[in-house]
Amino acid sequence: MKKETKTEDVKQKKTKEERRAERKAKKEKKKKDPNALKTRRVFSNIFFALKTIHSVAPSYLPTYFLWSVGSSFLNFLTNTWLLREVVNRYQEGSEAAELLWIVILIVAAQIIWGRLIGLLYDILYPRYREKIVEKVQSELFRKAESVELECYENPEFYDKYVKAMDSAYSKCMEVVSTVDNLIWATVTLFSTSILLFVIDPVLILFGLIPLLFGLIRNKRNRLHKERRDKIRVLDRREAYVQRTYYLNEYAKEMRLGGMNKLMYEKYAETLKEYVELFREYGPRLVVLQFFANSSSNFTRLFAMLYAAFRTLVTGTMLIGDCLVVFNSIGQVSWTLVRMTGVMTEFRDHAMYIEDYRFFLEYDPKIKRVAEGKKAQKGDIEFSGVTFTYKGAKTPALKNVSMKIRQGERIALVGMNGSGKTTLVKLLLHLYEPVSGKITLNGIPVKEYETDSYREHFTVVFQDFKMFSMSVAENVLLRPLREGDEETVTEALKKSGAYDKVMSLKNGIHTTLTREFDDEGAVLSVGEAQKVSLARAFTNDSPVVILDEPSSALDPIAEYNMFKNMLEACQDRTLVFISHRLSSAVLADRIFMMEDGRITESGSHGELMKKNGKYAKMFRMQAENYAEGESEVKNRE
Amino acid sequence: MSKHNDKTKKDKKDKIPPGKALRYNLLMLRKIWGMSPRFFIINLLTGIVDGISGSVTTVFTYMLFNELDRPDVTFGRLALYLLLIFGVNAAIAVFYAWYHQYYWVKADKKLQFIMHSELFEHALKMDLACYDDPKFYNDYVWAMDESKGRAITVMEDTSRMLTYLIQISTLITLMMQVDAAVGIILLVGCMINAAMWMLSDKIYFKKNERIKPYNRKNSYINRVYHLSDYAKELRIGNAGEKLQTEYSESTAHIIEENVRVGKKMYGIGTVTELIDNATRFAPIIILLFKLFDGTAELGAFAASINVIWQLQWSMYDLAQKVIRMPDNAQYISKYLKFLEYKPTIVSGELTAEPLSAIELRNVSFSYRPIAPDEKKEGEGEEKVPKKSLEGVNLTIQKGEKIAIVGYNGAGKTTLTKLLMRLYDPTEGEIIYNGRNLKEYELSSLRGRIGTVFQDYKIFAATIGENVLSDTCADADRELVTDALTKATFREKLDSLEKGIDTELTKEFSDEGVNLSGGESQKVAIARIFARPYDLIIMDEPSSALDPAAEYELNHTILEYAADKTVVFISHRLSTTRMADRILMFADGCLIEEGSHDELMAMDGKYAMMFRLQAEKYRHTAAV
Repeated sequence: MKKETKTEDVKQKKTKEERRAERKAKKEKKKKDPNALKTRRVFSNIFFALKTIHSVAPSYLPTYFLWSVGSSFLNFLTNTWLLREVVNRYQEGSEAAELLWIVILIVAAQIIWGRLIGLLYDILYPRYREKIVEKVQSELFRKAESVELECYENPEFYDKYVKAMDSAYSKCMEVVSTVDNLIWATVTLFSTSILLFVIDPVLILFGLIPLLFGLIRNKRNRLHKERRDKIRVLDRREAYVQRTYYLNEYAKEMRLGGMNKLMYEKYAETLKEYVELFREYGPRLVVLQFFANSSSNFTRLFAMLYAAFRTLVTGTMLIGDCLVVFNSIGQVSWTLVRMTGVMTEFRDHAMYIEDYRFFLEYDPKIKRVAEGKKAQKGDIEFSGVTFTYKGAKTPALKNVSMKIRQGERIALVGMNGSGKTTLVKLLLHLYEPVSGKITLNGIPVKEYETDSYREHFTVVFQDFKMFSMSVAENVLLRPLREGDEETVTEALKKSGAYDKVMSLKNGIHTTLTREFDDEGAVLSVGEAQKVSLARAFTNDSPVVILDEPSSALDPIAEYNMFKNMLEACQDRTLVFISHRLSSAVLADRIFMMEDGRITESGSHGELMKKNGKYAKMFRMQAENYAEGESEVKNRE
Repeated sequence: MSKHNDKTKKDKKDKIPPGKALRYNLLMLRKIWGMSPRFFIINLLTGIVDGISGSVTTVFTYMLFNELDRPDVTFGRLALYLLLIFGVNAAIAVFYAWYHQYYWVKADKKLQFIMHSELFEHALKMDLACYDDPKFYNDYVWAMDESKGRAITVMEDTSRMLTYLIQISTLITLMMQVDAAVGIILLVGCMINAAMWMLSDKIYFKKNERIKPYNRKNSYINRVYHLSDYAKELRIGNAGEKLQTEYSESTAHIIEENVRVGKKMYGIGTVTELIDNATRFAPIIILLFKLFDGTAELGAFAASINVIWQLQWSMYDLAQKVIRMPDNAQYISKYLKFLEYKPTIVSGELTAEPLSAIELRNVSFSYRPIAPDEKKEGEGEEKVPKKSLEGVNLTIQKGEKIAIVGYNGAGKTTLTKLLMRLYDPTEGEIIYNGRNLKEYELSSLRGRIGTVFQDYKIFAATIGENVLSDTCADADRELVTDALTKATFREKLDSLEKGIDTELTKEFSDEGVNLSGGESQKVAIARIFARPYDLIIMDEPSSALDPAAEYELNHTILEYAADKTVVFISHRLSTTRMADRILMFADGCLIEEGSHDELMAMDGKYAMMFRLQAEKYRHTAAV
């Protein structure tokens, strides 16, 4: 803490003009960048990062910082102090042997200190670094699981989350290295300054010259940031064009039409914009950069001229001292420049850590209920449920009321975007309705214990994903336990994936995807769907939900799957979404959805009799089959 | 454990020997020279200027210190030195400000552009089969990704190495003049240390290779957590528990490796430390004695403390660059391999005339890995790839509507890819208008064929451009609107403020629109209406559409394409009924062929499949 206040002190010494300019700059920054953090928050974030590291590896920070204090001081001894000692003693006429002892002492100190650091660096830290990564990441993982799904659809939130995932650890470590820099700079600055002060207090003033250039540096940094922000947009485009050229998924289309020419043109345009951008900022940045980098050059010139003047013209300075001035004044000004940079660095890190903290401290709207009611078999009821996706103008579900009785087979049908999948997601309590309520056994869904409520359902999503785990674990979506093998085998048989899985090297223990394992199995979409469908056969959860279960299956596989599914779900509630109305026929009740509303409901027979939208849709699909059959019959 | 050893052995083979590494680096330099001689020269000059200027300041400082100690020194002469140093520094600062803030950023982008243009051109010519070979594909993606920085790295490293060499040689020469012994100690000490650094680098490299699988695992888990694709599944199941256990386990492995290597490094570090300090302090002690003897000047002593420090750093930096050479070479070798890759699908010379008939004669095809030089090494256990198509004979006449049906993996999509000549058949031949497909000029042939893939892609361009696969000129606007109307996209189009100029995806513009699956599919389908194709190929064209949209679309397609040849793949047999001829595939073979009625009468596999699907409609339609 002390060090930070010291930097603040140094800042106070800035001229009025500079402070005014700084304020102006800050104002501008605020206008442009509403995310800019308050200084207090910056430090709070820095401490947060340090605390995180400290909690995993309590000896990491103290040893690390002790190391930098010691090293920078030793460095001062060899590079600056030793020279002065030698020169002064030389002029006093001492013996070389006396000095030899000093040198030997310093060498010994260097070696011992060096080996102590080696102990830290080679023996202790290798244990710590990975542990810190693990802690940071697994905290993020756990949080990610608890945050409601809606967050993934909110681009701003998602962006922050991805940034946090990517950089949380590295930014925490960068904080440490910036603090290290600060310590190094402070120790060097103070020890050297004291030495210079002893020689001549006026010299300190020369050392302060770089601070006068602060304004220029600020301006340069601001321009830099501006340019970087603009470049980032272009970089994104460039990366996109590159992807279209080299990713497999684009390869076919890039070869067939004129798309490749179009993409190339876009790239060429992007290049032009790059060059324009560089032209726009280049000249100003060149001038600013020159002055910003020349500050220490000025310090050296003036301080050396001053020292030389005092030594040679007025004769009031010893040659040895003059040498020390020559030798170390550069270091003073250089270190000062570094110190002013530290604050910018902190601010930068703090921005990232802010994202990390924001995510960790985010209060999920759908809270995990650890102790609550256990879910029991029963009826599910939606009453007046309305739901709007974040950022969407119109609700995805409008005032939906429905009742699903225990053990019923329910089909949800309707056009694309009519709200079928949304309804399922709400039922699973992945989202919280905007208004209305969903109950199980008459009790609102959010009052149930989260784990028990989710275990109440088995779901296969339309866009199911295979994890890089074994087949069995993909089926179960949890680590394998004793006695699971049989269940999984049985389930795979029922979903029709058994033969394929047994043809794999390690059967149900084969790792899927090549992410972990170069010999992992890559399943086709249809096969993968069968594996994920097996999930429904592994347990006897009261409710099974299938979202377009047969979209990637061929007709025979679809038929077998449905047959098995109905068998397995005899006393379970089954909710399925399907485009193929032929399967809707199997349901006890069909809900026809249109534009976020349930417009028709009833059994197939009832709906056909009603002769509404459902009947029309069904006939449209049945037309071809029915005719075909009759023709064949005629022929026969 | 034995697996471990195998891995390291294999990786050793991957590390490029120094001689080869140097050659590859030189090759890259020549390539840069070829692309932009100016960039090459300016970069090298910068390295030299940097080296000289660094040395000049040091020499001036040395002289300055000596001057101070002279009895006849005057303030004027000293001030002159100081101004000289200041001037040199200022001039360098001007140069660097220009170079870093202006020249370099621009030149860097331009060079990248030239490089990418070449790579892009190659990428387009590359056989699609390359994408199916994971090894080739991984290398290729890596080379592409890295191409952004590596060429520049090679160039910069070279110029930096020049800088350090110049600095080291001037500094050593300077110290030699002060005292020969000191110069030699410094030279030898620095060289031993450089060798030690290389040794540690080797150890670290090996360690990194060992922990690579664990790092890969961890980065996969990171990815699972940050991709929204997995979010739902992570919530409904308990896959997270498993993943987090895996994460901790592989972290433990990494730590174990780190600790093991750490102990070794401590030993090496001790030796380095001793040599380092000896190199640093032996000269100081020697000069100290000479100073007190009166055989050395005070200035020389003072200057040498800095010189030694600087020298050690230059040497360290030089070693770092040398260490990086094999690393660069590895990239370059892959990059060059990619550029040298000769595509097997080469354009012919004939211009494709409008289609009259296309014939497949005894066509077989299998997806084979085609990493050209890896193959020679013969890994022995290479499996005989399963044939995706086997002995297919068939003729498609102009204007026919062909439906291809079959189970998953029956070879349906493969067949269409062969027709477009994205692949060549492994056996047999494809005859287009009486001539082998290979004789035709690729772009004119592909210009005759309009395709909607199952995994079609929407590009970050306007709707118009996406439909035309080209820039949308004013004359084309009507055509685009018309095509979109035919693809039943009209309703959505009218709801968009900018109409066909609406930018799709948010890649280029924040105002871009993301279409839903069904909508994107319609845009993809509109592509086939926008150009006067002879042959239209549709792979599951309606999979993302709901029944009503599917119905409407099928009708418009057939209506519009009355005089075109159409080949379509579908799972929904109700759609295939519209075809003149149905081809039923199983396991890569064409097993049944004929019109719907013929096939139903034949009562084979197709009839069985059709009945299965129809059954549910039939017995309930009567209700």
